[in-house]
Amino acid sequence: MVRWILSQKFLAYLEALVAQNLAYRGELLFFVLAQSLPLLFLALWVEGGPRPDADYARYYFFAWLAGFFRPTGVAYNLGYEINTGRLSPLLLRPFSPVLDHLADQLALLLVYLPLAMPVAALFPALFPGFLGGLSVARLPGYALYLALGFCFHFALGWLFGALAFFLERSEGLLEAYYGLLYFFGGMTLPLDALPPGLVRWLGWTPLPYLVYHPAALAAGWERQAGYGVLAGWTLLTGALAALAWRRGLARYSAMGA
Amino acid sequence: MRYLRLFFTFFQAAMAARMEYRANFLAALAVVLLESAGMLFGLFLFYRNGYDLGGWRWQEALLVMAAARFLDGFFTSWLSPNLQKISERVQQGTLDFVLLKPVDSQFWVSVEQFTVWGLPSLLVGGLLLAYAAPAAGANPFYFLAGVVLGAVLFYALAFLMATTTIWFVKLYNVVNFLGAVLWNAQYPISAFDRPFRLFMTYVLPVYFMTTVPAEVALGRKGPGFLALLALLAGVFFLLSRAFWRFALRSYGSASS
Repeated sequence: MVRWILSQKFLAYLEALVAQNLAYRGELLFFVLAQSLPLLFLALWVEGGPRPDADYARYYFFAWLAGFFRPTGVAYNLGYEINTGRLSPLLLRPFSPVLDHLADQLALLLVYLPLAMPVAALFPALFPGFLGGLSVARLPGYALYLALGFCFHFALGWLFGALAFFLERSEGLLEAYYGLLYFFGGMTLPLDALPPGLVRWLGWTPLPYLVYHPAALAAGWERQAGYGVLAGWTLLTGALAALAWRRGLARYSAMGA
Repeated sequence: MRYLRLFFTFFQAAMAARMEYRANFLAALAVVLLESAGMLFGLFLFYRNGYDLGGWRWQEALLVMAAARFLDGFFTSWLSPNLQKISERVQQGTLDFVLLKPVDSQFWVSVEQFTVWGLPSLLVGGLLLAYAAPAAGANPFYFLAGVVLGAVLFYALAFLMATTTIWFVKLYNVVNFLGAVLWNAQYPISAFDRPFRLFMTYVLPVYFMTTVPAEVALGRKGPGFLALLALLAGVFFLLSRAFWRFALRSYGSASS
């Protein structure tokens, strides 16, 4: 599997998926619009929050950017393939259908990021002092969080998608997870606004490491590193997903399988 | 009458398919309660810091949140699954089957699906209303009338956007975008920066969906504002019908 990812074939496949995703322009437009949630909360906190505007601008900028590294739709697409039996022909190929979705998400990332650039350019224009507090030295830590977050969300999508082997629908639960992420992840409000006891407790969940800590780190609010917890959750979720996937395939009985 | 019967048939079929999964429903209930607690706490934070979201008392702001929960329940249970299905039908060409039926096609694709995921939100909205309306001295009937009109307006806007799937073919992200819109609708509009306020009034009329019902119920705006809301909702509803018909002319079906 790993060898396949590193091979030339995977690159060619990725290229094809980039082209395919570029064809659905409406989807791209609405994805970028759908990412605007942290920006609207920025508008809220700038009006009523205790910190200087540029501080909030930096925090929400990085919280917003993290959204582009969050695979969505993996669970929905996998579940759809399982429920409709479209998975059957895909299983005949010499690589796992899960890799399709990994390649698809990577391709989407390549497509989305250039679209984010014009919006990103607005920040220094709207918030004087935005660039002043930035430091390149903090970016590798931020990037590591994003990479781990990408893996975690992909594993989560895989797990919930694989649940479709056993349940009819599970994506509602995943939507609910996103609701929790919005609040307890730090997308809508910086977690330092929550009671410290609750934040300590949340520290054992993956949520704060997906938005709050990366954004707070990059914005220069704090230096705490919690990669271990997120890596642990990623491994756990990935292992569960692999298990559910194998068990599911064993009982999968759609046409032709 | 026939349409009402059809609506109940769809509803029953969907319910029969979903209610088997009681565990799912219970999980959704638990998560929505947690999520609502988070929303309430987020709102409370502003008040703890002495900031009043542009002149709204705590109970009054809760009314806006109640309206947003109602809309969210409506969105999650009806709108979101149906809008996703439209995109799926266009992709696969199965929209043909709907167009061939002797039933208004917009009606069919709007009410065919239903999930239970939104019901806990409706429940939370009801609880918030039961607490906040007496506490803030608001008229619950004006409020509910406003919320229903707001839901019609939201439906029309959502359907207008989803209709573009005829050209874009794949358009699942519309649902994600609308979900984000609803998250903003939970705060009174005066809480936002001026540019956003203008945007949310004139470009994407979120203001009319949650803030206006609360304002009318509180007597800050006269009942005449409900008439304005009704007019707006009606115009957008007719617009969505016209646009759907226009879009269907561009629909390259699977069989023709």
